[in-house]
Amino acid sequence: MIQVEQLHFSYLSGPVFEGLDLTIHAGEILSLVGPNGCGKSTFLKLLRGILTPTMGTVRWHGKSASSYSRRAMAKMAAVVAQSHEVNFAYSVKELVMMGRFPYRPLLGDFTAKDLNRVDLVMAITDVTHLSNRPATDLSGGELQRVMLARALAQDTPVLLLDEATSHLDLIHRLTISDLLVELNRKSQTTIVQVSHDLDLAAEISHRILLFSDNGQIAALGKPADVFTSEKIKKVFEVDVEIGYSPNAGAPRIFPLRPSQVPES
Amino acid sequence: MSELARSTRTIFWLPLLTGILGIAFVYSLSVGPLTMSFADLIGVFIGQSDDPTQFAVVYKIRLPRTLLAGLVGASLSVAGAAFQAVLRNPLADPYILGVSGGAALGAVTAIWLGFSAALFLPGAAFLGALAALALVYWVAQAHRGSSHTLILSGVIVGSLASALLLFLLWLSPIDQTRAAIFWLTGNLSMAEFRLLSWITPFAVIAFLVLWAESRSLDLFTQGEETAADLGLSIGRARLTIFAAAGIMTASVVSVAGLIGFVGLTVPHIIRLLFGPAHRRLLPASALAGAAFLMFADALSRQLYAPAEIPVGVVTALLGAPFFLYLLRLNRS
Repeated sequence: MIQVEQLHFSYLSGPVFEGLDLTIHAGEILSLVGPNGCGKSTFLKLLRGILTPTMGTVRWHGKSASSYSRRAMAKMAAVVAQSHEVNFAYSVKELVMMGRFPYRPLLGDFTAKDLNRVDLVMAITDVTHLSNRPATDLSGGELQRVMLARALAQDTPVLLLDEATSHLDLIHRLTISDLLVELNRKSQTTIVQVSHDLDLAAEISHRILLFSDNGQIAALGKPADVFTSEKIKKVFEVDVEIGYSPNAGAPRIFPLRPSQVPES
Repeated sequence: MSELARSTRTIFWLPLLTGILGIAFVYSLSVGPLTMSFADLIGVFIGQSDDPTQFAVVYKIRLPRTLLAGLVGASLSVAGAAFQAVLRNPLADPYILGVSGGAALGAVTAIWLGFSAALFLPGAAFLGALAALALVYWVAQAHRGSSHTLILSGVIVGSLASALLLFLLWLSPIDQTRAAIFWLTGNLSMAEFRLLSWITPFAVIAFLVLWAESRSLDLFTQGEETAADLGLSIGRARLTIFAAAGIMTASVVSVAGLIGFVGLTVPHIIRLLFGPAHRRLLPASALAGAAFLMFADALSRQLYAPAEIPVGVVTALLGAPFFLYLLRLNRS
């Protein structure tokens, strides 16, 4: 569904990607992990055409990402970022309604269909009771659920999450990731997420893409194949023990300090 | 901004603000050297008054002036609301992109060249404002029109214009300087129906364009990247909004000079009372801005009658305490 070929991109400070290839399959959950500054967020921006590659292409359904209008792209992919500007006291419902912007006719306003979708996604994300609350009054966890609701209001086949759960507490992180898994199962929503929570990524992802700090793909594949102590050591420069949680059905990563590393 | 906005977010803003506007309108018509009661006014309007002086005062002087106050107040407030949203800057006012400096320079140039006749002055001010706007946009365009480049180049173009303006004033004889300063402090005494018919189309069309962009303005408040992700073509929307708000400001500045404070604070007050959604914010700001400036202008004529206080002084003296009170009331 999304094809990345020979992707090159540089900021003024230097190159980020030099020839990256990747195919993202419809209906998969793909987690992008790697050290800070390796270009994960930049990669998400290149995917959705906010940034344009210096060389190479990103294709959606065979067409270059930059050839889509913002409106067309907003109907294909919705984004949830890590933090949000809340300087204006929009109510929760008004915020979620913004997700229907790409469906709005050129002149005229939202229709009953838009309102129905908004009610539905607010129920799914459990923010219906916050409907009239101004954004400025919400806690971090509430705001993040509202932002997810807004992304879902866009009704897109693809969700792009940029550390969307990283500053949430444990319970909210779990509820949101459960929600993502459910969306993926029920509606075959393709989910591409940047995450620093390796354990949770291991648990919910079909594939993990491990970036090295120079924007190369260090490993790509099933969580159990990517999260090995050698690969993690190579990329994060930290020794780890890999365990396995039978209940979660996924690998768990335990970082070790230098003094804790057994002599080999 | 919670409690107040939540309880008043209903349809009730429209009758409330229309009512206030009506009161300000009647008050402004009745105030002046010739005091007129509400009954006198009714008499004039239904053609039952047999006093030709009352008739002339209302139709020749007070009605055009009151309508101009309304139009200027509404335009400045709507333009201020739009600039605050697009630039995501609470300190943005309609003059932020150098429009005021350009208009002032245009007007003073006209005065200096000796063209201070009725229509030359607004024409020159309008051209000056548009030139400043175009220059600011052209410079910022090199940075893909990012909002801080726009603000920065607006401030610089504004300073350049004021430097040129001070230079012109220094060159000018004293009576021209007085005429220029009178214009610069902002006043509504130029009001006549001819001027009104000249600027009303600009204001109305610009308002409709901005209102049609209400949802885009909402998206801009979320940050430009988020707005783009929600499907907004940032470049096109920003150009449309700047052009509309800029021309709106330029047209009213050209006839009323620089009236401060209205465009900065009226949108804030309306946001606090009725929430930030632009579908409601823009028309509500227009009504409130119109009422506010009508009221302020009437006071400016009444307090030291027959002398007039500069209306900008009144707007700030009235608006600032009320704004502070609202801020204090809203624990957010």
